[in-house]
Amino acid sequence: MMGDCLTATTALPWSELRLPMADASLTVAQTSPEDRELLRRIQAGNTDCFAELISRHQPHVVRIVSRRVPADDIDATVHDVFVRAYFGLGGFSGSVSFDHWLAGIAVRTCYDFWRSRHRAEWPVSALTDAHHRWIEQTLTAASDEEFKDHARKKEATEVLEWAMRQLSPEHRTVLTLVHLEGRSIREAAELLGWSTVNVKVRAFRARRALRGILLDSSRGGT
Amino acid sequence: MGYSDDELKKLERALTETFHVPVDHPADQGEMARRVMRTLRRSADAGELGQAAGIASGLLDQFVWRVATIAAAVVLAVSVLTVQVLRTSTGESTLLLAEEFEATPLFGD
Repeated sequence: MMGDCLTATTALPWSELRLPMADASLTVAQTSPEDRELLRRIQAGNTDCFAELISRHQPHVVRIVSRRVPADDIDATVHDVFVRAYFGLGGFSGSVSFDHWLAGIAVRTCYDFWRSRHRAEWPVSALTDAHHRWIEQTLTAASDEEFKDHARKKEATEVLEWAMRQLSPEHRTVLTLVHLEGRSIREAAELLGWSTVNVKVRAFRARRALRGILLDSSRGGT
Repeated sequence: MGYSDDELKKLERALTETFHVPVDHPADQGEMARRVMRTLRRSADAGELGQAAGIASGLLDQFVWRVATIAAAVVLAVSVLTVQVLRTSTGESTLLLAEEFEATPLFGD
């Protein structure tokens, strides 16, 4: 039934819609014809086609969300991303790909997730001996191969999460986009809907904060 | 003892590598789509009930903004008039000054 949503192909007046945060100079892939057709049908009232859009883009959204929120909260956050996307469809511009637009919503939903958690004063536990051992082993890794092996260990994920939980939601979000994912300041700003200056300043402060946290850990801090 | 700058950079690089390690998350696509569509349908039902309230709220918003705009305009007009009246009463009006000049004979006419 949902597959029927993709049978017709009609030219769409996407230029009529403009996304406020869309930057015309950004060279992002255009929305695929299949997505356009599904979106046109949803706008025409066939809302069931949104289920097919979810199926098409769920792996992409899960990839973004799973790196940002705890494993137990991935499903609920992905659900929120698609609900938000549905209600935001009227503001979608065809000038960027649907994937890219959805990525922005996913990043902002994860940011909101940490904002709500931050307010709830989530306690941060201390690093254990195993974590300190992991840090020592990583720092003394003799080869690149050994270094990468250490990075794949469970302790590595725990140390990363431990450090990230001490950052503010803003710093966490910007650090993830710019320093961990390696996105440009401009791309991060566009995904978050913030100004480039704001992202640049926060990226600098976030990295400084992370280094401070790591330094404190070496002195026997939290 | 603290880390050196090189050690900190190495640690940051290790954490970046860790971040890129693929996360295994079993995703049931059909189930997620069903859950989202259920939520959307519930929202739509609630939306129909709340539509009238929404319209009323929108009209109230419009009314409040209009009244506020009119009130601001009236206050502005009253302020301007008050200033004018005060100037006139203290003899600062340029018009009155001009009239005074005209009424006074120059060069002993």
